[in-house]
Amino acid sequence: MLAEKKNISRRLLILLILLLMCVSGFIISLKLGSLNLSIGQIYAALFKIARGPHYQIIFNIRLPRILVGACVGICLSLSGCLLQGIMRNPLAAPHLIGVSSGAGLAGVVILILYPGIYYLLPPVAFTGALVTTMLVYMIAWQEGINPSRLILAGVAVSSFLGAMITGVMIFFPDRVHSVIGFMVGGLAARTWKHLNIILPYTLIGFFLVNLTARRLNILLLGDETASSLGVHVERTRLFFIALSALLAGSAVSVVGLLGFVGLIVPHITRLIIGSDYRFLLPASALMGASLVMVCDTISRIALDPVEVPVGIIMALLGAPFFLYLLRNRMKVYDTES
Amino acid sequence: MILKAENLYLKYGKQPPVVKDVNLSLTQGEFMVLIGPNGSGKSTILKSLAGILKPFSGTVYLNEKPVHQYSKKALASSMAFLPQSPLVPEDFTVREIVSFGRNPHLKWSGRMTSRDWEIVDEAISRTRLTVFQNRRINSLSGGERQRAWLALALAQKPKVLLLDEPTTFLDICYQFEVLELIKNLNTTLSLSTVMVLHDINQAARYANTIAVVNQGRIDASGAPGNVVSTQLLADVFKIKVNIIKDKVYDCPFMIPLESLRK
Repeated sequence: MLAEKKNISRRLLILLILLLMCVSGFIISLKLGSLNLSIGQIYAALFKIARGPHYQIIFNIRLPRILVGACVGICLSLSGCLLQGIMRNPLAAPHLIGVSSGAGLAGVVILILYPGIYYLLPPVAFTGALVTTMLVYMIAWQEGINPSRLILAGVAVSSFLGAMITGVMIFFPDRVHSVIGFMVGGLAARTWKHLNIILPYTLIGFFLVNLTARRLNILLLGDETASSLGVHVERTRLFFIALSALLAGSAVSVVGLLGFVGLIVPHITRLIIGSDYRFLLPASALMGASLVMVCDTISRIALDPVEVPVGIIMALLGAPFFLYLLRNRMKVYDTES
Repeated sequence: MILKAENLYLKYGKQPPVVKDVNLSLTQGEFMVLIGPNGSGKSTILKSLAGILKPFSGTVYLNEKPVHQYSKKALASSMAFLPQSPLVPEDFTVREIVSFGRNPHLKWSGRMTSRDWEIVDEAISRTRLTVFQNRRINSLSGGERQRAWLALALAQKPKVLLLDEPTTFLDICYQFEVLELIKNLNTTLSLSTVMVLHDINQAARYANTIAVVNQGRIDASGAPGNVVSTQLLADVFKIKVNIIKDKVYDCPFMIPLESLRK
């Protein structure tokens, strides 16, 4: 009993630390930028004590952008976590089920072929992501879904759509510039409007996912064992694929193809807190939110006044950090196989 | 009859049936062992008894009601199935794994009551895992791990236990430990059991009934003393054997002599 309690309190402590990380990431992002603000100025602006240029910067520029970043981090991390769990494949990530290529094609079509309706980008990209995932799922279906078949179908469909994306870009070289930001993923000029798009999915996703952590844990025992424990394996898998497509789709439709978060954050978190989904899911959400907020802050100040898209910063910092964790705590992965 | 299979035909996908016209019945508290050569369809039959593989024709009845009419959870509350090698997740203690056995009895929210935890504790102590209960399951030896899977099945509080080769990959000491535990659960809890085994002598020693599966059909079934014969083993397993009587356990004991597969 004692060891069990210790184990649980250790993981609760990690969650608490991640929460603190998330809050400090939030404050640092509010503080730093082309204009550094003091805690007092942030406080005054947030609680509407003083209205002035600082209030404008915080309320109209930084706050919505930071919140969008946090939501995107949460959505993509949860999505990756779900997919790695139900596919039992460490390489599973939102882009593998066609979310990125679907949203990417939609983005390219809107931004290059129909730039006049650029404001429709989020809903169209979202639809593209979901339709592609559905297509991948249907192609892979054969009296049930075999995870490897789903991943292979996802890879094939993604390459097909990838070719179309590249094709469109090659035929309109003069307009490529407008779409590059979307393909890398960035948070520049994201406003309350964008937050309104993504926030509902973030909240729904967060609650649903944490309610169903137990089922994900049981699926870790294999399809047959899960089934004999009363879990509808196919139905559960479809539910989680749909949920992760919704989460990732809402994220990429707002910030573009920020692919890296969904793959790496679940792994980093797993190395720290273990693979029990009751802890892994909330921890990944917090980790994803902090990582996106911090990387976005760096992207704003690193080469000020030029802004580096957050996707680039994320890959440049995240990949080495992940490799460091992997080499130091590789044991976790040795037992898999 | 607690469990009954009638005219069972089973197949995977569009392939020809691997199990043809199988009839089985299990009475309350009976211990049945399925033996047969590799690929004969033993595991397939077991999966369909468990309700995991839907018969292409024929019906499996649990307590006189077809298994496909049970809800998934109701079925899992009355019948537990252990596949040959469940995946072993990391980061879960034995106690956490065993608590998954309560899943079919829980509401959607998944709250475990103190009664649920009592049942988990009982399953752990019946399988003598109390000292291991807070160890991670992937740190256990093969025999201990197999006991943990049994505890998981017991936590479901099943009436019927289905086991697919629970002794494969275990050394002889663990094999007997696991088999004795299963036999003990079978007698003390009157837990009706169907088990697939490879070892004919172990089957003869522990089973009330042996069913011999050969090429998707049941060639013979009955008490071990009536089923295990030189002729049957030559026909089904293509081996020449000598059969002696184990006087201590009152069951046949076969000594293999040579392969008849030429």
